[in-house]
Amino acid sequence: MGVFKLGGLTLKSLFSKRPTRRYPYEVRETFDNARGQIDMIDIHNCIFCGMCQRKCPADSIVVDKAESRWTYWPYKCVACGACVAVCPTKDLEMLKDRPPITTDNKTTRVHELTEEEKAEKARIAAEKKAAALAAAEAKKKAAAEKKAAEEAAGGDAAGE
Amino acid sequence: MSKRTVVPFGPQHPVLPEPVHLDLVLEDETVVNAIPRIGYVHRGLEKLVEKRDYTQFVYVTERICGICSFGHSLGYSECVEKLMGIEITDRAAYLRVIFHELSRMHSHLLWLGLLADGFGFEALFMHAWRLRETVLDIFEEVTGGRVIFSACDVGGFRQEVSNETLAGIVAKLERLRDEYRTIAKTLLEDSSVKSRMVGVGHISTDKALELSMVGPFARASNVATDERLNGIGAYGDLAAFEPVLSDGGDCYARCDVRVREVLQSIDIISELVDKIPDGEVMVPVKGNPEDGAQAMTTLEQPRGQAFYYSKGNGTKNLARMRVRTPTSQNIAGMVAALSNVELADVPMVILTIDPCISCTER
Repeated sequence: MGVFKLGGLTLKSLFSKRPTRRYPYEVRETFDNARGQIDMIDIHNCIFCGMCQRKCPADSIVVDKAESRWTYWPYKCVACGACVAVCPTKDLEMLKDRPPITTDNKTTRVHELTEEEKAEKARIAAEKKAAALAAAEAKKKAAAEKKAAEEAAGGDAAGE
Repeated sequence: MSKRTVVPFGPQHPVLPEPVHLDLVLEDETVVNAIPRIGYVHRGLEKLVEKRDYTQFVYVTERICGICSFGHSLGYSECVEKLMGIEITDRAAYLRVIFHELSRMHSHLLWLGLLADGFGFEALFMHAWRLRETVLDIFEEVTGGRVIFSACDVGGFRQEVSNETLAGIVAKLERLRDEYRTIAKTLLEDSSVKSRMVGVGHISTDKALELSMVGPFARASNVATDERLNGIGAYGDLAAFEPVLSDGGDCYARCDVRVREVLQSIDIISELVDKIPDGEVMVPVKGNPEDGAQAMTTLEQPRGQAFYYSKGNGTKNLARMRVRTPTSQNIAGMVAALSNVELADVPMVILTIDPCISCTER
């Protein structure tokens, strides 16, 4: 009879700690390594390169460089951690808790620069562009001047 | 000759964890023919290779099946590494095999619970799944996932696992071994269990070879087929490897083989943890598979030999990815084992074959 063969284990289970728990009331603490969902640490460190979006197998991340916006769908995410591993600025982190239960599985989490920051960023970008343009212009001018000088020197030489 | 009747079995049935349909042709109470029909969980994962690049696809292959998930990601990664000529580090190869053997243990313990539940032995079912929980906790603690743990990747193993953690895993498994022996003894020596399984669904060695059966199903018919013998990955570094065989050929022999394979897996893990070399676990993967390059590899999954094929087309997407899984090989054997059994024994025969329909249909 199986009952007697399992007797030792049965007696042991009677007097040992219960292996199960009353789940929704008692929730076990998650392991440190557990993968629940991802989040962005600081949007200001993000360079909007879009690597996380390209590596995501579940299309759960969209990076909009023009709008400086990072959008994440926690209920599409399969918590594989490919984005965390690939992020060049180490700006993504894996959280150990899963997203809460909801009926709205279209929930998104958006990290975005504020309007002022965007304006500031645009201003800096414009300044950089202007500076680059000015530098290019100056270089061109210098090259033209040099050429003219050379030509003039050549002309002088020919004149003599 | 008595009148023939057809009893539909499945796709929804208490003994079936996954949907498969069988038309059982009966003469009185005896099955004379079984006509299987699959197609209830087809998801078209092989086609998805056109939409996901080769590094993303490892997460798709993991989702072929929930029980052999690590095995599929391992097989796929090995295949793509062969395709692109990537040499992984020894430590990564060892870690892969350790985790593959752990997932074999979790698969066999799950099966043992299902079988016990199938013949109404509730206490054994609970104990088997309690032990399986130990293995799942090891997975979650180390890799962060319980069933699908995204640990294997093209180029190595994603988690850096310290030697102390590995020693801790072995200590846990040694504790599990004693309890497991009690459970296994109950299963194999109990008279009520024997009365349900001895002599039921017999397949001879010749028949097993003729039907190209694989895995524990074939090994229970004394066919020494085991991909681990080929020594791919860290299996080649084992001091000795003998496949677990039994010459019974019936349901009882299949149980016996799987029960002993769990103990064998513990031995393999202990040996590899002792031998594991230090070093990196990932090598950088650059470039795309070449146009027209092909690679294939085999792997011993918990249910038997799985075959992986991939073909590159010069882009980041593979041209073709193909998996042949053990259950698709074993369905012919299952039909053969079902002929001439009593209708009441059909659940036992199907459970001891341990069919994995999600793998079969992908």
